This record gives sequence, structure tokens and C-alpha cells, in this order.
Amino acid sequence: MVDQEQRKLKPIYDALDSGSYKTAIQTCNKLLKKQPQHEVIRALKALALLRANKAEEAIQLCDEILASKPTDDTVLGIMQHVLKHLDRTPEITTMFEDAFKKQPANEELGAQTFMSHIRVGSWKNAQVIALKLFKTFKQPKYLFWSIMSAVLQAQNAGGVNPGMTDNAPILLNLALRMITSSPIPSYVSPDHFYLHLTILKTLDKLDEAYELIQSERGKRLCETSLVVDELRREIFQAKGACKEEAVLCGERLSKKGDRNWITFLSLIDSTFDVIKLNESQSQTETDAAASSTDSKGAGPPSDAKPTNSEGNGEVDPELTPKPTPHPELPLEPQALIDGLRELFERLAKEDGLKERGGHLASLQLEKRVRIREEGQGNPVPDTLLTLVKQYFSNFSDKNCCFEDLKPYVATLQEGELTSWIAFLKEQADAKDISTNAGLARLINVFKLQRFSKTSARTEAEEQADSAAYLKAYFEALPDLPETELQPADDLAILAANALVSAWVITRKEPYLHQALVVLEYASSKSKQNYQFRVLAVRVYRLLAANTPAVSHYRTMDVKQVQTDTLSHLILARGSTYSLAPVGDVGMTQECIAASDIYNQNSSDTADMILKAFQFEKYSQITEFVEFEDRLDNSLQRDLTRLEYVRMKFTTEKLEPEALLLELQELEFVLEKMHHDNRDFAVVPNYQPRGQSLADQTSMGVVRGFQWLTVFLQLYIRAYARACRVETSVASDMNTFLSGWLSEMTEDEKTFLKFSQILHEWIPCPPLQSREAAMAALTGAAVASDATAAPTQNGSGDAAAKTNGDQERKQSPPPPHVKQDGSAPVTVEASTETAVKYFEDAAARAKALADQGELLWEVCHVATLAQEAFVLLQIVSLPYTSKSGKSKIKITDSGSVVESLKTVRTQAATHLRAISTLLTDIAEKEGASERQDEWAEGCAALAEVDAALGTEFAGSVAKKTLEARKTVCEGLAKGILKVVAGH
Amino acid sequence: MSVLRPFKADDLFKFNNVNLDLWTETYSISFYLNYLARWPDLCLVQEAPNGKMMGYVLGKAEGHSQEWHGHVTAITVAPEYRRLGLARKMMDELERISTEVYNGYFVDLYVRCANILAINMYEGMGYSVYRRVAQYYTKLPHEKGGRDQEDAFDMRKPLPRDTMRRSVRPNGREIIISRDQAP
Repeated sequence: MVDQEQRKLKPIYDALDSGSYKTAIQTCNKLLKKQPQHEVIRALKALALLRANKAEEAIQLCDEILASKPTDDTVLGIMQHVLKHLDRTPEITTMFEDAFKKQPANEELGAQTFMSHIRVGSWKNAQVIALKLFKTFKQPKYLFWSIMSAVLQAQNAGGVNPGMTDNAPILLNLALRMITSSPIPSYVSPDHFYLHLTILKTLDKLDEAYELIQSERGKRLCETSLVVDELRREIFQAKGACKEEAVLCGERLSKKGDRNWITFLSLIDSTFDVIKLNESQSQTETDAAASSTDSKGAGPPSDAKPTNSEGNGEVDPELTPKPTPHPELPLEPQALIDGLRELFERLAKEDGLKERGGHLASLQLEKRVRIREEGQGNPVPDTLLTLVKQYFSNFSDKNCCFEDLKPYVATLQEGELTSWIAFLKEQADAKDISTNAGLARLINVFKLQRFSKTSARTEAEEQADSAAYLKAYFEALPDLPETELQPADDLAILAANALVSAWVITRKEPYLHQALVVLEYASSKSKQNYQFRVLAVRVYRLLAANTPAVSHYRTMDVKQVQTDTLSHLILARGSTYSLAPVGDVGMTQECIAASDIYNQNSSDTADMILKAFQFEKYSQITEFVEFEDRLDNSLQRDLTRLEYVRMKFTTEKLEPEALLLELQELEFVLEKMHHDNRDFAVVPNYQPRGQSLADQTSMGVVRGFQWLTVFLQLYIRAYARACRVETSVASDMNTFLSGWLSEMTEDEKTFLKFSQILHEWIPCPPLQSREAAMAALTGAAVASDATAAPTQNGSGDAAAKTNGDQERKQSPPPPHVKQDGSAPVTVEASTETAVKYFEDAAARAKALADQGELLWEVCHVATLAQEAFVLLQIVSLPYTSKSGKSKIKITDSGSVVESLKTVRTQAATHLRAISTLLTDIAEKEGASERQDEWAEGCAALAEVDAALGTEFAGSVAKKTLEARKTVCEGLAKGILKVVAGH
Repeated sequence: MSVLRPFKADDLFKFNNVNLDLWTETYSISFYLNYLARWPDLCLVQEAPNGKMMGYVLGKAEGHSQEWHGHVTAITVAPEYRRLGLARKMMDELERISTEVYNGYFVDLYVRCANILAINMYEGMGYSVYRRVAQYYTKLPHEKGGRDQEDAFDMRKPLPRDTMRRSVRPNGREIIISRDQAP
């Protein structure tokens, strides 16, 4: 019977698998003739229709099937697919719930219902279903599902404002009751135990948590599960069990061979907590003694009863017992500190140079002692400097020595630094780079020298240093195959750092050219080294050589989740280099490629959350939900989205219908709480203390939440005008601008002012409701409300006061944005000021080019002016649109249309001037003299080593100049197209 | 000296300095989360004191009856942190968990037959070749290819439960199985 059934369905499945959806539909139809109500076949047909892009038919059939409330496993499984593809995920839940209601004894259906709730994040429903499952089927797993769901609900995990909800205590107490009444104890697995401890910790029931941990089973779980042990440490800390922590860590280090740095740190931290506690206790004792002497006038201090709360002698010492000093811990601070010193010294001796833990712990301890002594106004002991030098002598043959020492060098005082720098100088003079160890030592010396000196660096210093780094690089560069990482690589990175620094000091562009030559050369000798490529990407972009930048980025093979953290490397202000108007979709493609991961996240991460439930890994679930949220609401995601919009609308016909959808999307994005996942640490930074190479090589100030918010609001406001609908974004620029300008370049600020000019100068057209606008979009007939007389508000200030803008709620600044109270921005809005924006932009582009500023800045001004032109088109759409649906009759709109035309014509003139400027630049960049000039600027490198001579420098120059030419030419032509097209 | 801690989902935002190395592949989100959803205690991270990721290991427990064992799926250390003994520390911990939590018979891992450096390192840790799996890997773009590039050694180290030392055999290098026969 079953076999027969399978035989019948097989052709359908085969057709679906092979992508022959038409055949699949035909087969379904044939079979349905005989059995019109066969549920599985009907569901498969819906799936086939969907795959064949027959959405309407699919939807109809899908609705019919859902109305019949199916309960069959197979049908439900197929329908889950169908609904997911139709973006109707919430209905999956209803479908399973209906099925489970019909068959309450079907455990599988119940579990599926639970999972469907988890999938959409409705923790509350999940909790209820899971409890029901537990009561019906008695499996402890369901009880724990319910507990976990309650915890997620209390945390509002994945919600708009994650964090504890108001009813968290009720939920958590409920969860606690469930866990304590569970038929299985929580110590059955680390994950059950973790869940139990999490609940207790969140409820602040630290004593109970402590007791669980100290049980035999609890101790064992802490030993075998790092997750549980992490939580244990947090609980000890919250409870103030510093003595217990100190004893435990001490035992682990001295007796159990533990060398986890976290154990060292925790031992030091908790010991200092013990010191503090002891001191506050003895203070309390003294106070108590003093007060008892005061009140009674008698009694030696030792008779006074110690109390826990300061100066409050009424607390019963029996109820709040004084924490008894641990038998293994002395009370005197000095004894405690000496104890640690001895331990670390002993470990360092025992482990020798194979293990850095004990050695570095001595440094960490001295740093803490130093802070303590300073805090008490005592003279600073000089042990730290000695230890730093000792550590250097022991471990400077390891790459990580510099990183290890950084935090300790940073706490050295001026006098000590002088001695330290002299020490480094000796080391540099005694260099021997014939071995890898000697080479590593010299690299560490160089890095530490850059970091240690506190005086401002000069051009001459950076020149000399970069030459020294390069000289060592060429001396040390061995004959390893280029597929190997070269031990000398960091010397080239150091040289690039110094050269960028020289550029920062002098703004002499040839230093950047030199940096590129060094990076390209080193990269050719060590193809695997991604740091060269990261740096090259950034320098190439500063020089407007986008092609080699993108090419290096692609060679790094950034993929999967890395596109979220690393695509900023090429997409930060990526629209500056978009040649989309002339048909080069390279940059738009990069945006699309970088955005795929977000779809993957939406479709796959929820499955993994379900999996964690199935395998009862409760320690992972909150983390997974947070991960999903971080990626879903990634700052980079929406920066890319906006960059994409800015690239795209230069080429597409602007239609209110399309803009309305875009508007809603942008409004949705504006509501998000974003997470910044971008990785800037991949930019290798060896700049002097307090400087960041990532910042120095950023094309304009690094963008963040504020930039996104301002640009989103700008476009929301413009799109709303274009579609003639209301929006909650304020009309007064200052409400969203004041204090949020710190992430804008000067030219972006000017662009914003221009947007305000447009907003105030172009009269707001009569608005229609969202419903009417949407209905117009979907073609439904709705009485148009756009027949009102136009509002006249072209007078400049108080824009759109009569159209209800004023009544609208100003969107509150996102909580993560701090207002810094800069001066309010005001504009004078008129035809003249609108035109003047373009005139100024043309003048500025020319001035920047004439002054020899970086080419990216010229491109930036040019693309913003082009964008301003598009913005003008967008905002004036109600007056210019010829499309039937959105055509409105605005009485007396003639003068508006006329002045719009004036601005457009004059703007076009100025844009053409910018285009000509770019064409001129492109021509110059293409001339052969430019190459010679470029290579000449790199002559200093050739002096260090002939390998960087004219030939190699020339090849880099050629590549760079060609790329610059491409950008300028493309932008120039693109501007003409945009001007002509709109 | 480093922080040894559990691998967590949001480490996917932090592992660039490790994964940008040519030898370390970056997989889909599901790949990592699947390991965490099933064997979180066999997924570990080594972190530098300044919070930078130094390396990580992803492992699983699998096999039936006497084949029940811990498996190292991926182990990697960022170039700047190599030769500090980090791989050994992660392997030690994975072996400890495989013993104490999973009570496995052995721990095993796969390595390219041509990767002599790694094979020596694992031998130093007590692993030995149990068998050779033909054409387990695809050719690397910058390598010549060939049998040793594409074949894998399945290397095993017995855990205390393997009292008979079944996971060790002297002629492992000569025993060849096809990819389909490997789990």
C-alpha cells in the first residue's frame, strides 16, 4: 500500500528535483483527475507552481489546502516550504497549531508546532506548547524546552529592545519552579546545569547558585565544561566570593597545571578584591570601635563586634556573619601580593620559556600593584620596568612579544620610558637578523619603538625609519617560495605605516605612492599575506584607484559571514567609484555579493536554533538568537543597502511607484537598532600610541550609526515628497542633524544643506494617505484625495507648515546617538541657493584638483553633486512625473515647474563643468610624463634597494594611474548621462 | 599563554585574522552553528590577552560501539601566533573532553599526506596513521596536485578507554580506503 503510494508520487518528486516544474505540474494534474482530494499531490502541485513562478495559482491552491487544515506529516512538510517561499512564515505556526489541535495525541505534530513558534521567535507560545507537550508525553526534554522559552521571553531575545522585560522576574521564577520540580536533575548535562545557573544568577539568587556549584556534581561540571566554568566565575564575582575564587585559581595554577590566562587574571583580580574587602572590614572594625568608644567611652577595639554595614552597630552579627578569612589566605595585603609574586615566579621557573603565562602574570601583577600604590599616593615601585626588560629578553624572538608588552609599556612613566627607549636602542644596535629569532627580535624592537616614544613624530624621523625598516626587510628577505609567508613581512608593514605617517604629517602624496610600491612588492614576495592587501586596498582607494583596490579585495577571498565584517573595506562611500551610469556594474555587484549573507542568515540561522533545542544545548540558544539579530540588524548591511540605492538611482528611471516601496524599506531600516560588526582590527596598526592606521587611511571620516541615520532620514524625506505621502521624519533639518554631523565629510554636510534647500524651496505637494498611495501602486481603485489646492510655502522658512508636517512626531534620536550640541544649521532656500550648490560644487572640485588634494576628494565632490541632481529630480517628481497613476493636478503649479526647470538647466551646466574637469584629469593621468613623475616621487625607495627602482615603481605607477583614469573618465561620462537622462 | 574559552556564535565576527589565512577555509554560518548546536564543548578558541583571536578548534563525537571517538574537524592558528604550542593546548583539551565527557576510545583527524609538517606535529602529540583515504581532498589552486596532495591520512590517538590500543596499527600508511568508505 505504502509502496504503491510512493511509486505514484515518485515521478512528481523526480520532476521537482530535476527542475522540470512544468512536468511536475502536469503529472499532478493527471493524478488529481483520479483523486481530486489527494492532499500530498495538491501540496506538491502548490510547490511546483511556486517553483514555476506561477505565484498567483500557487497562492490560491495554498490557501485552499490551508483551509482544509491538513494534519498529514508530508503535507505539512511541503506546505512549510511553500509558505516559507511565499514569505508567509507566521502562517506555518497557525498551520501546525491547527493540526495539533485536531490530533492532540500526535507528539510529532506537537514538537513541530513548538519548533514553528521558535522559528518566528514567539517564545511565549513556544513555552505554552512545550509545557503542554511535557504534561501529555512526560518527556523531561519538553519541560526544559518550556523553561528555555521562558528564559528567552524574559530576555526579550531577538526583540526590538533586547534586555530584561518587566515581567522577567515572574517568568524566571516560573522557570525556576519548573526546573526544581523536573523529574531529572539539572546536573544531568552541562547545558541543563548552565540553564539552571543562568536563571538563578539572573534572579540574583546567588547563594543558591553557589550551593549548586559547590556540590560534588557541580564541581565536576565546572571542571569539564568551559561554558559552565565561565558562568561559575561570573556568579562568584557577583556574589563577592573573591576569596573562594582566589583559592580555586591558585590551586588550579599551582597543582593542576592550568595555564589558562583567564585563571591568572582571575587570581590577580580576586586577590585584589580580597585586599579591598579586608581593608574595608578593618576600616569597619575601627569605625565600630570608635563608635563604641564614643558611645560607651570604654572598651578596647578588639572587643567591638564587627558589623557588615558601616557605622551601623544594630545589625545582628549572627544574621550577617562576617566573612571568615579563608584558612589558606593571609590577611595582610603585602603577604597576599608576595604570595602571588612567589607563585608566578615559581611557575615561570618551572615552565621555562615554553610557557609565557607565569612570566606575563608577574607583569600584570606589578601593573596592578602600581595602580594601587598610585591610588594611595605612594611612590611607584620600579619593578615593572625591570620585568618588562626581562620579558623582552625572554620572549622577543616570538612575534607576539610586542602585543604582550603593549599594555605594560603604556603604564611606564616618563623617566622609565627614557630608560626603556635607550634599552630598545641597544637592542636595535646589537641586531643580528641572520636567524629567524634575531629577525623577530628586531621586528619587536621596531614595533615597540614606534609605540613607546611619546613625542610627536616628524617627517624626517618617518623617512629615516621607513628606510631602516626597508633595509632590514631586504637584508632579511630569504629565498622562500612566494606562496610562503615571509618572516620579514612585518618589516614591510612597518615601512608602510611609517610612510602613511609621513603623509599624515606632510600631506605630500608621493609618500602614499611609496607605501603602495612597498606593499605591492612585499605582496608579490608573499602572496598569502592578507595584511599587505588590506593596506593596499585602503591606500589605492585614497588615490581613487578603485580597480586594483577591488582586485586585492577579491584576492583575499572574503566570503560568507566575512562579507559583513570586511566589505566596508571597499564599500565605505563606495558610490564614489560607482561607474553604473556608464554601464560598469562592478560596484553594484559588490553590494549584492556582500548582502547575500543576510539572506543566508534569515533562512539558516533559525534552523540552527531549532537544532540547539533538539540537541538540548541550552548554553547556545541565547547566543544563536543574538547572533541572528546582530547580523540581521548589522550596520554594514544597511550602509551597503544605502550605498546600493545611491549607485542605482543614477541609472534607473525614477517612478513614484518604485520609490514608495523603497521608502517603506528605508523607514523600516530607520527603526532598527543596529550593531556594528565591522572589523577594523584587520588593518595592521603600528602607528605611534593613540594613532590608528585604519582612521588615517579612511576615505573621509569613518561612518557609523549617525551617518546612517542622517542619510536615511534625508532619503525618507525626499522619497515621501516624491510619493506625496506623510512620513514621521522631521521636516526641520536641525532635529535630525544637530550634533550628528561628526561622521560626515564637509562635502556631505553641504549636500545635506542642499537637501534642506530643496525641502524648503519646493512647495510640498498635496499629500495622500499611505493606503491611497499603496492602493494606487497595486492598482486598486481608491478615491484620490489629492485634489486639494497646493500649499504655498516657498517662502523659505517654516517649510510645509500647512501640510501637517509640523504636527508629525519628530523621530526621536536613536538612543545610541549622543547630541554634541553643535550650532544649528540654517539655510536660505531659493532658486538661487539651489543653483549655487552646483556652482559651489564645481568650484570646489576644481579647487581641490588645482591644490593637488587627493583625487578621492575630487571624486567625492563630483559624485555628491551628481547625487544632488538626482535628489532634485526625486523631490520634484510630483511636478514633473508624466506617469498616469501619480499625475496630480496642482493648480498654479506652473511657476514651480518653471523654476525647477531653471535650476535643472543651470545645475546641468555646472555638472558638465565638473565632467569636463574630470575628463581633463583623466587625460593628464593617462600621459606618460605622469608615470615618470610618479616614479620619481618614489626615488627614495630605490636608494634603499634597487628592487624598488624605476622599473618596479613604474609598474605600480602605471597600474594606479590607469585605474585613476578609468575612474575619472567613467565618472565624467556618467555625469553627462545622468544629466541627460533625468 | 592565552585564554582558552568556548567557541561562541559571535566569534564568527571575530575570526578574520585567523580565516584570512589561505589554509583556513571559511564555511557557511550553518557549518559553525551546527557544531555549536551539537558539540559545543568540543569547540574551543584561544584568545590573546588583548582579545584578538589566536586560533580555534572545532570537533565532534561520532561512531558506533568501539568506533566511538572524538574527531577534530578543523584546527587552525593565525600565522602571527604559530610556534607557541597553541595547537597542542587545544588538542589536549579536546582529548580531555573526549575522554571525560564522551568516554571515547580515541581521537582522530584527517591531514593531507603531503603536509609533512603537520603530520610530524601530530605524531609528536601521540597520533599515528591509522589508514589512508584516497582522494579525500580537492586539489589546491596553487599546488601541483598529485596523490599526496589529494589523499588524506586518518591519524588516531588512543584514549584511556582503548585499553587494547585498537586505534594504533603499525602498517596504517599501507591501508587504503576510498572516500566513500570514510565516515
